[in-house]
Amino acid sequence: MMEGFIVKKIFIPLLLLVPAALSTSCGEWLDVQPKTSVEEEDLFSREYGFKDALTGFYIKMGKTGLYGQNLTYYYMDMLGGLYESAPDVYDWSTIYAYDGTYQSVVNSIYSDIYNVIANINNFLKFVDQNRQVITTENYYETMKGEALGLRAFLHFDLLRLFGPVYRENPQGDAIPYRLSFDNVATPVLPASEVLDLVIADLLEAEKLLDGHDSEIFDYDNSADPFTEMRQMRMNVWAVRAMLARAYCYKGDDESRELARQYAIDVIECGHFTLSSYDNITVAPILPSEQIFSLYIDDYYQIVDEVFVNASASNILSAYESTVRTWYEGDTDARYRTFRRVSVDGGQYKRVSQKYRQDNYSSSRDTYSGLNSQPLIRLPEMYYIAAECTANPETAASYLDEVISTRTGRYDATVTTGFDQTDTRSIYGVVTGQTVRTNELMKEYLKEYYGEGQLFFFYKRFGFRVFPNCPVDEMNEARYKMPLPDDEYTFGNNN
Amino acid sequence: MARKLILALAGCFFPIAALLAQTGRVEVTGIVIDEESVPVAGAGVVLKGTTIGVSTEADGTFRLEMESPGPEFVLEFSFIGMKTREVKVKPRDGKADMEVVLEMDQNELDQVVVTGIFNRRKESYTGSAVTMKGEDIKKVSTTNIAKAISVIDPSFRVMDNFEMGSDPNRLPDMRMRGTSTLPGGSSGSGDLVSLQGEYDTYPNQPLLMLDGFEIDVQTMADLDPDRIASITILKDASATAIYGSKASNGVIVIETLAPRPGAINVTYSGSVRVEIPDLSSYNLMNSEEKILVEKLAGLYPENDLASLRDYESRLREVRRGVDTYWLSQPLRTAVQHRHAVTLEGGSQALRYKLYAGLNETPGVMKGSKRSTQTASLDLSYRLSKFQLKNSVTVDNAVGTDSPYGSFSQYAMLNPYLRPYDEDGNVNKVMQTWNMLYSGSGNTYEIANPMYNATFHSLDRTTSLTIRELFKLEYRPADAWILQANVSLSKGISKDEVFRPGYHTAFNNVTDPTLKGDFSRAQSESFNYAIDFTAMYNKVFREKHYVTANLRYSVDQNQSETYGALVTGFPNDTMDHILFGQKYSENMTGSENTSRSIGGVLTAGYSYMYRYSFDATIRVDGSSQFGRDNRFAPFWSAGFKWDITNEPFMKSVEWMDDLVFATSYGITGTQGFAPYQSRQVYSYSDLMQYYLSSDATGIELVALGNDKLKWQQTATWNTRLELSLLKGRITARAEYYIKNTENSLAQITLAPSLGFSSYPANMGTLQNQGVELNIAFIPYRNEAKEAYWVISANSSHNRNKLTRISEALSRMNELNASTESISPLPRYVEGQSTTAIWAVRSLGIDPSTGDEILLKRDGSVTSEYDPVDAVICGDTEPKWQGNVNTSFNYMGFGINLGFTYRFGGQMYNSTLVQKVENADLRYNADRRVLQLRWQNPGDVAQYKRLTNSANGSNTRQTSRFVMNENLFQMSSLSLTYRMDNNEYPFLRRLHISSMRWSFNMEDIFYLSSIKRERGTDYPFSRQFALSLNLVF
Repeated sequence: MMEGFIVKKIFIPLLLLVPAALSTSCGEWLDVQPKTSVEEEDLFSREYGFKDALTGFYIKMGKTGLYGQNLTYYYMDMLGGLYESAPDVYDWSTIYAYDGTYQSVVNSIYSDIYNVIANINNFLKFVDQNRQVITTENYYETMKGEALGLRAFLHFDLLRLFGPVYRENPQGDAIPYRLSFDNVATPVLPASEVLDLVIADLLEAEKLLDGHDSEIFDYDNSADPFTEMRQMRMNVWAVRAMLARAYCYKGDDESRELARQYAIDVIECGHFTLSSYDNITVAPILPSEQIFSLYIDDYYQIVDEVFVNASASNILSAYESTVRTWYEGDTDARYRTFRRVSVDGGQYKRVSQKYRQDNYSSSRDTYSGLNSQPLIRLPEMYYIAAECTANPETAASYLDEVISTRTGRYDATVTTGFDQTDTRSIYGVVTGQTVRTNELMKEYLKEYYGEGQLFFFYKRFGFRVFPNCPVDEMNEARYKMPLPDDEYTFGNNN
Repeated sequence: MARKLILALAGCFFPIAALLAQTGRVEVTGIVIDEESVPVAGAGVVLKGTTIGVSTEADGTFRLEMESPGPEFVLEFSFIGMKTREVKVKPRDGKADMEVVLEMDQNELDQVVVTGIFNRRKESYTGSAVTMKGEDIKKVSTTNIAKAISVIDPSFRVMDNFEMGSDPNRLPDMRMRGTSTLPGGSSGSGDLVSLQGEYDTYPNQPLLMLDGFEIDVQTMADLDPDRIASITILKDASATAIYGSKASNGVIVIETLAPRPGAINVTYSGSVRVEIPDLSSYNLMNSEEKILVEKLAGLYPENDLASLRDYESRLREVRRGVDTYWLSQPLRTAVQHRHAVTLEGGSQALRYKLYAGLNETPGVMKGSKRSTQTASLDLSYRLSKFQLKNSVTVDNAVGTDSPYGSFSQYAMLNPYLRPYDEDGNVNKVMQTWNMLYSGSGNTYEIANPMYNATFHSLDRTTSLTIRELFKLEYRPADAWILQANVSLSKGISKDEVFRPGYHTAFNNVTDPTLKGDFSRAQSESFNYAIDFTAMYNKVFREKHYVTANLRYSVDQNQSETYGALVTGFPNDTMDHILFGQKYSENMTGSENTSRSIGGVLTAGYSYMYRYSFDATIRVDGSSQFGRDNRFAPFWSAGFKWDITNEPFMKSVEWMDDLVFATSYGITGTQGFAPYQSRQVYSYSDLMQYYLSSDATGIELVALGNDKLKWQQTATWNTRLELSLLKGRITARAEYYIKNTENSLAQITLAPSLGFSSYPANMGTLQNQGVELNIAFIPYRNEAKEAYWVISANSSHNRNKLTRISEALSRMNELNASTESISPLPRYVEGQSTTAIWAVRSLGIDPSTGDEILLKRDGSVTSEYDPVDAVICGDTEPKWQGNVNTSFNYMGFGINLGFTYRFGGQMYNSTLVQKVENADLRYNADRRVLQLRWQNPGDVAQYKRLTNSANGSNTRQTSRFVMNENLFQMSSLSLTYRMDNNEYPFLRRLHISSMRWSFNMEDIFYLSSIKRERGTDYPFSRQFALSLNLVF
């Protein structure tokens, strides 16, 4: 009895499980989908997946290793000589030791940017391969255009960091330009070839975005939430501003003219306006001037660490006397936005308040600048126009247009001997550059404090020395970050 | 069924039987079972002194009818592998019915090979398997099973862990017969190929099985050696192919003791262990030497008044006799204990065993501890052809790390510093150095690591695991056994790390909501496995032994972890995560599910146990394999020739055993991360809002490789076993070649590709080796239970790349094209993967004090260039092994174990870090003072003293590659057994036997390399006293 019971009630049911398990198809049962990740084919089988991947690029760019810290207000502006104290920097000359103390920082900037580019390239492969799943009108053009624009933007910054001083050595080795995501290394290209590829990507992006970009630069509750606040994405005007930047960088006459035209187009497009004197002190991040910014959620957690919570001896800042000299007194609205911190010995430091998130409201009425990290702002277009316009008076008028909103002065720019070598001492330094360049340098310094553009300006003109320069002389080795060793060891060196 | 039938038949024929009795015939019926109540089929039942007899049926029953030899006679019951038993029979009315229990022979383990899946008869088994009994394990170590196995068998090795020393919470890194995948390592530019180490298990670790369960290393490390019946190591393909895709690294099969029948049996076993830190490898400077070195190194420049003041004040402390031995500050002599009680008993039908044990293992660093509690209940129930077994085990464990932090911090502190101030409080800041080289006026503080132990903090892992195993066995007929097993395990664990606001880690934090933190991670796992087994064993015409085994199994492993970080804990009484002021934005965590299906068929044939053949085929399907090839086949074939069973050997009496066996097979490797071949996207790091998008960010996890093939290992194994002079001399020699094809590696990429590496098959990796075992019994006297055994074993393994993949050779070609500036390819055919790469050094130039290096082209330079690195040694020793000797006399036993290793090289990192590259603001090795170059003309071993923070900044050169020869006394044990027959006082205490043992471990360590061992956690010497009582 008992035996029969065991056979019938236990053994046979258990044995029956075998074919039952087999019949549900082993293959299917074994196909375990990871819960925390998605396979690429599945991700890009829906329009939603493309939106996720695209959003990923911007969030990744906002990480602290890239534009959320090192490539903007932190390491880049240390290199530009904008600070006199910073957490963890004891010897300012070591910041140019790219293969020493700062090797890991430089290497991770390099690999992190290429990691975003790898994501973009895989996206670009699928955006054409699975185009049929992208059904919403304008999405295909917008998303592909943005991706191409970002690929150009990131390669351009790699070129500016790891390439030679372009005007001195345009054929010098720069970086590989990645056009696909695979395991085959591509060679390190000369700077001029990289620049041409940047411009080609930007032109294609412009073509795609033109007429398809929503061009909504504010909150719009009636709009598709994926198409509002375009300044937070690589929009059509950001692409044009990038073209202005790239052509200006190229520097030959033809390109300078193109740069000027693109800059003027952006100035006149009507989406961006220069802040008024009063607005600058209210919202120093200047939301109405942002052409391309990153949104970094809870940015205060990152920026407060260096601008607020650090002790007075370590805080990211410069001495008040230095900052006052830069802003030529205390009437400049931008100077007024700095916070004063007292240090031992009766001295004061001035700390930038651009990233103090308490300044910005989280209301959705109008865009306040909360949690934003500007990457391209309107004044640069005026500066490019000023740089690329031959006539000194016209050029100066572009500069003055910006300066007037900052200081109330309309004739600040010196035009005497505009394209002659400047013999003046600017902020205590005789730079050996022309008057035009020095006037531009002063504006870049004041305007882009904490935005990581000044070092690139110095590098572009090959300044041998600049204000508050921590080393005796700037040379190619200090301007050109070396590629990581692995790029030579494992890359394509032919 | 059959038994009932017989009884019924017996009833029907009762009148006839009665008649038979009258005519002087007798009928004996009954059943023969083993200790586990399993019917014994084919057992011989013979009237003593005659050839009259029968064999038992499949259900163990027998019926013997014969001429009555008298009113009382003796029957002999015998079966292979079991003790022959004589039973007196006194028939009544010419009939007798009986139940006979046959006990396993003492040498039962020598007769059967426990493979964890099928139990195989040893005579016909062709695989290479080594079995050790629980007793042997305990002779070597009372706590560390892995170490004990490594002493007994040379193929198994526990890798030295110079960092973690004797930390009770560390896990052993185990290897069998070399590595089948590339060693892990840094992804630094020096290494062409390196492997990512993100696995729960080491990729080269053998598969661990406990009572048919796959277990993790932690479970094995926590297992009470008193519970072990046997451990079997399966080495070659013929033995391991039944485990298919998980078998390449070898298999360790652990069986626990089964319940013994009888009236209630109580056993107590306990041990007390004393662990004493072993600091003999450290050779640090005392305070006088240290201050002298600092002065010589230029840490106090003559023109710097502030630092000269520091020097004077430190010198005063030295003169006052301050000479703190910092190494001993965080250490203690740890007293550990283990207690276990077993209750067992039952009838032949139903048996039980209840085990409860606890183990308290404080480590030699104050505050570090591991404590485990285990309870298990085993039940077995027999019903004629059926047997049901159920086992439930609950394991609870708490591991705590020392609040004193890493031991290395103490080795760095200067001896002229005082740990306590005048009031006896711990100094928070030890010493302040001016920043000599920056000129910024900033200072550099050295904190006292002891400060963090003055308040309450937490760093602990708690886990609870429940394992349930159900076995059902059915023997429908002679020669057949059917089994169904279900096993389940559920585990929960949590990691907690709590540091209050005054921990030195928060010295520079000003925001009160960020001072103090608590991180907690919670994990859950659930695994199940179901399998069905059919076994067939039959001897035809006493010549042909046939076995066939089939098994089908399904299993799933699932685990999930999630955790949170909370900050803002001002004081140490708030030691719960709920008291924090601020939660970190994101939860951390992971999820992992893997499933597999496997079918295995083993068939064996043996002719008179002279020639035996085995073959195994296994098909594995796993969710970890790529989508396109979900199923992978594995197989093996083996042949064994037992020469002593040949007729011509019958006359050779001095030869007990001479066996030759060889096998070949293909197996796979476990230990790889799932989804490795696929290109997948993950949300986990980008879970944040983005203003102008209503989507969530997602990013690529890795560069996949759709051409990835699963690595497979083909093993050739040949062995010879020999036993002479009635077991006085036994020897075993094995030779193997393991070729791991498509060996997986993470190939380093140019960073411009977006990822630092990608998985690829790098080629064929070959391990070739020899293992030798010899045992000799110089003295044996069975009457006095006295014997003396000397055994020695040795192994040699060489590892090389025999073929490299196209991808790698293409990479090598690319690099070769720019030969002068590129390093030599690290992975070329014929090269060992355990080679040490360094730039050749000619020593220190006596005139300048700089190192003279040899470039690849043979020229001499003082500039270090990594391109000049060549192979300067190999970490794999030429030979290594163990020597053991044991002596037993009447219940008294002594066992000594030694370990040796020679012929390998090692890069002596102590010399580099603590001598040449020492930051002399901290304490360093004494050789800093003695052997460094100081003046022109000095012939010195090391470069000049320097005050730089990186020391001499010496990179990897051959000067620090040293020959490693090691001799270690690993264990000493003394045992004494007392029976109540000899010691009547035991009877008064109701104790039937008592066993004492004393063990010592890691008694001495002699090495040709003088280096610091146990840098983050010191090594220790262990003394244990154990007691085993049977009531």
